[in-house]
Order: sequence, then C-alpha cells, then structure tokens
Amino acid sequence: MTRPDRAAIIGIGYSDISRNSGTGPGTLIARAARAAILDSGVAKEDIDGVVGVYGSDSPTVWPGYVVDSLGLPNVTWWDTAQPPSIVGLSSAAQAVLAGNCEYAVFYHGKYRWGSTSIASKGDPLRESPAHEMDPTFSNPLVSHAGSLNWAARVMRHHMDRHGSTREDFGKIAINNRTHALTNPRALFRTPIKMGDYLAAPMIDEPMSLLDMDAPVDGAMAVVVTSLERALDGPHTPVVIEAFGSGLPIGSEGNLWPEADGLAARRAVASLFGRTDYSPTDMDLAYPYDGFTILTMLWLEALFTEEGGGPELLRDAWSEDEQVLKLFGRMPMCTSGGNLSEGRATQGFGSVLEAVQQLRGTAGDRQIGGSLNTAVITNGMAATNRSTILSVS
Amino acid sequence: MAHTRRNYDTQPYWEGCDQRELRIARCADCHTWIHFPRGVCPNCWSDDVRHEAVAGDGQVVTFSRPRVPDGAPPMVTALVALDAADGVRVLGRLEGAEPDAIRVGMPVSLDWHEEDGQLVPQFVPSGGAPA
Repeated sequence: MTRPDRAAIIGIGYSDISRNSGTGPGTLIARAARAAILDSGVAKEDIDGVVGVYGSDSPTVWPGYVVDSLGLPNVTWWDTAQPPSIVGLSSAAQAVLAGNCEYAVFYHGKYRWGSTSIASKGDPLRESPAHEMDPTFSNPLVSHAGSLNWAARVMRHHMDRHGSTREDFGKIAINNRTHALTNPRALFRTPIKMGDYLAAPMIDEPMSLLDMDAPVDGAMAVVVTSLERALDGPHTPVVIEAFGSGLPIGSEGNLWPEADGLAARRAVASLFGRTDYSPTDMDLAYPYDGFTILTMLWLEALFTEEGGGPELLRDAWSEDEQVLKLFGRMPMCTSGGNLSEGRATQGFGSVLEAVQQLRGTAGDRQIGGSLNTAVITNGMAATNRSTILSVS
Repeated sequence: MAHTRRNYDTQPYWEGCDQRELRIARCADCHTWIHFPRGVCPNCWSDDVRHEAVAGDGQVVTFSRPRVPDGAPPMVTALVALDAADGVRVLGRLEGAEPDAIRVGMPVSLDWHEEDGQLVPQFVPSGGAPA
C-alpha cells in the first residue's frame, strides 16, 4: 500500500458570518462544509472523511451531524479536535497521509450562545445545548419519549427481524464474565450462568442489567512510537496494522436502529481492506460490548451475513467452559470486556488485554498456543473506530 | 418549557407542537423530508427547507419498556415510521396499549401530551386502545 507524503487543501468554504444569523449552529457548519466541497469539485460520494472542532464554546457537533446534513454516503473516517482550529486541520491532513481517507472535509464553527454575551442572553433560541450530551442538537426532540437508551430498541429490532433470543445475548454476557474471573482489572468477578442472566432485572426491556456495562471511575493509557524505535524497547512490539471506521447517513440510534449494524459492516470492510488479513485469520476477537446487542452486530459484521450472529454464537458456545470459541478456536473478549471492567474503559481495556495476550504476559488468563493477531472493534454507529494488532 | 431547548433550526417544529400539529422539515426543491429538522437538504443541498404539517399515522419500527419507579404506570418508548412522510421516524411514548400486545409493525396514530408545560407528540394504537 502506497501512502501520500504531502497533504494539500483543495477547497474552501464558509457560511454567512454575522452578528445574528437567525440560523442554527449546525446549519452554519453544514453550509460551510457544503461550500468547501463544492469549491473542491469533489463529488459528495467521494468525501470519505469528516473532521470537526469539538469543544470549548464551539458548537460541539458530531461529524455524524455533517454526514446527515449533507447526505455524505461513503464516509469511513471521522475525527474531532479541540480548538484551536488548526489542530483539526492537522488531524484531517494526518488522516489523509496515513491512508485512512482520501478526501476529508474539515469544519470549524463558532456561535453566539446565550451565555456568550450580555446582548445574546435575551434570545431563547440561543440557549447552548448541554454540549457533551447533545452533539446533534436533537435531545430535546426526543427526550419526552421516556427512554433514550437507543440500544434497547436496537436489540428489540434485531430480535424481531432476525429471531435472536435473550439466550443468545446471554451467551455474550456469560462468556465475558467467565473470562473476567481471572482479570484483576475487572470489577465484576462473580460467575454467572444462564439462569442468572435470565433472572437479571430489566432496565429497558428487552435489555437487562447484564446486557449493559456499568458506570465506573478509571483511566487507561498506552505509548505509541514507530516500529523501528519499538524494536529497541523492553517488550515485544505490538504493531498497529490498521484502523477502520464507518459513519453512515442516519447514525442517530434513536431514529435508526439499522445504523449500528450498517456502521459495523462498513468499519470492518474498511479496516480489513487496509490489510492482507480477513477476519477469520484473527487469533483473538474483541467485539465491543458496551451493550450485548453491539457485540452481536460487530460479530455479524466480522464473520456472518446480517442476522447470522445467533447461529454463530450457538455454534461457538461451550457449555462445559461457559465461554464462546468462535469457529471452535477463536476466544472472544478474554478480559471480560466493558461488561466486566465497566464503562470507563469504553473498549480500551480490550486494547490493553490484546497487547498482554500478544506479548504473552496475560498471566492466569493467557490463552495458549501461538497468538499473532487480534481484532478490536470499538463503538457504535455515530462513533466507532476499530483496529487490528499483531506481533510477528 | 425550560427543558425544551429550542434553536433556530428546531423552532418551526416546536411552534407546530404548540398547536398540536406535527410539522416536519421538507426540501422545497426536491421534496425530501428532513427529520431531525436541519437547514440544508441532504439530498440536493438546497437551503430552501420549509416545514409542512403531516398526518401522524404510522407503524412501530421498534420499542422498549424502560424501568419506572415503583407504583408508576408502565411506560413504552416507541419509534414510529410516519405513513405520510417517507423516511421520517418520530420517537415518542406509546400510550393506551396493552404492553404485551405491542408488536413491531403495529399501526399507531398521533396524540399529544404535555410535559413541563410543552405539548409533545405521543402515539396511541390506531382505532383506539384494546379493551
């Protein structure tokens, strides 16, 4: 694979800039992005990366908002950056240089929130959203509906469409808990069996307490360098083979229960498309497990057609060991995942775990045999990023 | 009212709710429906986006039943695809349905309820609630 050695700006755009636009902040960003793409001459079908400034008092809009607003159908890379704005430009340029996308549109906006000035305080339409909780300005449009736990309705949708059962989702929860028993990072280390799973209290039927991760406090970190430098270090270098993601139109889980599966399939295709591997070549699998339905969808994206997850799980289930062995050999979520370590990790525990397994330093939970590759999928429709790690 | 954050893009939607009318954004040029409301048409990139009142009949796409405090009535959160606006789905409460009788695909109709002083859309089974 050849990668470019320089990045260039080929289009510029901006919205009207005014004291009082009479326009929502997202629309201004959409108009600026539209103008830049039109100026570039690039077809909207060819835009595959979206990067935006996110945070401070900028309109903290998810890249998915721009994908939806402009109907960009083929986006496989996204990123966000804190101000100042050129941080975002550098992220977009680096994504192009790394081969993660070919045409990235980068946006940055500012908005005169009600809290920004005394003069804007009197305008109720300028009230700022709770930024980190509403990155598409849509929460007020749905919060009256009762539950904003979109994943429960994705689960129902899968059960209705593909005939998955609670027992299928239970196999995921039990597998992860069984692996967590020997993981000192895991918060939940009491064994569970199917009866425990089925008896767990409903949080948002059909989703139970054991289908979801738990809020915790915690942090994790890694150090990354070039492979050349890594060879001088004390450990077996674990190589990042590739990253991949997918950002489909309609990534709002509250409206589009199809989106998580679609995003997962696009992410897996883009991830493996950047390597010579296929998913079945992997020695270890870490499908994201913030909710068991997301694990189901990532497994289908990796290994089966849509709706093939339940059969995959039934074939992989070992009643004796209370774990899943995909295709009879591939262990899954060997540290117990988010379901056992908690939400602070947001899937990053799987990265630490894969590094330990590939180094051969996972202690009591070290998987036997020769381990060379691990796939870690991470996130859901609007926010996902997956990777393949390897040792040679 | 205090909890309903409106902005310039969503204000026409809320003004409709205030009058028990479901108004959905639509491109005046290519007629694509746009929900959530946004200022640019995602299909043809027109800025000429207007709101149109639509009938609220539709079908349940998916639903869940969130846990409620002890003694509170059961709650159903349903995603509804509108018959009158292609591709538009609205998330709302489903009231007046026997919980065990709710199915994906069941026909529902628009209704309204007031929350924190704001009229918001909800749905009821079409043809009235089962006995």
